[in-house]
Amino acid sequence: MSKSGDDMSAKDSQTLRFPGEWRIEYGYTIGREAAAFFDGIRRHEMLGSRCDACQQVAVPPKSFCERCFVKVTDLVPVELVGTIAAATVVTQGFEGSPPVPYSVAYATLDGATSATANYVRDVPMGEEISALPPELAPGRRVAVQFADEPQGRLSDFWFVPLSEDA
Amino acid sequence: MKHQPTVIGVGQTDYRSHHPDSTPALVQTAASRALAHAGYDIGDIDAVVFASAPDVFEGVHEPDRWLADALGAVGKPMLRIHTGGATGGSAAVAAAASIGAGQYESILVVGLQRTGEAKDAQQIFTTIFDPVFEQDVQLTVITSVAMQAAAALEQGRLTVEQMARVSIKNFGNALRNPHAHLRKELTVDEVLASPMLAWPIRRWNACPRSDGAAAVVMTTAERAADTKRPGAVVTGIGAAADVYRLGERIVEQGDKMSGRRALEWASAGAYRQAGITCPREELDVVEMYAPFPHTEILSYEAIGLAEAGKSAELVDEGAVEFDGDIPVCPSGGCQASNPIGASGLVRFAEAALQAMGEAGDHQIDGAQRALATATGGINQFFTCVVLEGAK
Repeated sequence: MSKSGDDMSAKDSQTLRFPGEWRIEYGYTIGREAAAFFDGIRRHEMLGSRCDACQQVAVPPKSFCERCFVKVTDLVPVELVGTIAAATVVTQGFEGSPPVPYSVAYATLDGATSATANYVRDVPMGEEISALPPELAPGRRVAVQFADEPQGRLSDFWFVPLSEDA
Repeated sequence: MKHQPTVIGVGQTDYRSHHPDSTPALVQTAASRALAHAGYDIGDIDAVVFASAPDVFEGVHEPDRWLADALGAVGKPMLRIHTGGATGGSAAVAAAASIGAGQYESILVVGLQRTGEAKDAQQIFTTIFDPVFEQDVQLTVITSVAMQAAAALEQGRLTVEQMARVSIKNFGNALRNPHAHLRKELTVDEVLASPMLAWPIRRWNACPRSDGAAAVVMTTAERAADTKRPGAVVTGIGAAADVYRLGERIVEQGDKMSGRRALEWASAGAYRQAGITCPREELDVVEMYAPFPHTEILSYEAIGLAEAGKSAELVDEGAVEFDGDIPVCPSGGCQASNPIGASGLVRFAEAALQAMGEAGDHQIDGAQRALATATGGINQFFTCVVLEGAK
């Protein structure tokens, strides 16, 4: 192997760096399914897309089924309660993150065959996180709560824990 | 394949937080080291494949334009490949397929990333999620892999101590690798006392933000034989993509978030081509793309080293340690150095060096057959390549 000639220079911490910034505004075209999903939330409904061929119900909805590779147009409401598939407590913040600690989970709503991501609010947590709070364990039940003033964004709803036998 | 793709040269820069070299200098260094290792000059190269993942890391859009001349591509066909973290693996696969098909005789593959330029890497990672249905929750690599790890812990598939032992193995193996970024002796207590990023991922369960470049010269077995240098022959290739949204993979997999079916598909393809039926016995070493210890552990069974649900036993048995029966990441792997777009190519290059018997202080004695994996897009893209010492 060649001797690594960058070793010496890599020790030089006085690396010269120029400042730079990317700031680009976008307007994302969300499509009919997502528009219907956010309209549903205004009626306190959670909509999924159901594939005619395999009967899988994707929440949030999408315009096709990748398994059958066909278009999907059926939108169906699913339940406002579901089951945690996976969750974590974020303890180190980053640019744009909510104040830590906070909980985020993928939950499968009853009637859906896929899970959707959102914050889990009202999870009892201490300062130190030394285990996953039991409310966030896979299999635990959660309910959807809706924002008072929906904006047509994912922040229009979130999850809250339900008691173990709910 | 018409020709057997054979690696004859490997070049790497050191992997560091803020490498002082400019980005063109970085890729040119890796490329020229690979050429020197192969005994080639740039005139021997017929085509260039460039691997780099999100442009946002370098903050230069279309880095293929920026770096074409530093990659030695002037006057040659050049291709850029991007499959997230699997980019370097996909680039190696594309080059091997092209040589195998007889399109080009000798290809230079170069991987690059500098993840230290942007102020906050996790902020960048929020932009790889669905803009409508995921970005508002500020998902990042750390939060999404933490969810996978937390689910695996709750399912009893691994423990935080086993995760710590894999981290210790990787940072410890890196002490043997002069190019590695984080080279450290650690104890289980130190890992478990390191700051929590998102349960259960702690500082010492995560990879560093690395700058660096890696390069490989690949040619036909016939041309490789002419060079009279050791070569590593690509004998098996597999690759697979999975669905975009993590929540949609859950329904497909009995083991929920921790499953990695696309890695199973990719490894099955590579083993079929290489004629491998019992990977644990037939492979001598694995260079796995795993920036976090639980992704490494859960991948053992996906690539057939353990039965389903028994991955963590390999940690307890010490099988994956440097002196174990199936060492995983003797170079320290992605956990010790993770220049993302290059990392998959680094795994491929390190596996090639093992098969050539040229891995230096982290050479596994007598290694003949190595597996390299690459993983991208939060377990969405996978490549697996089997490399064997040229006879």
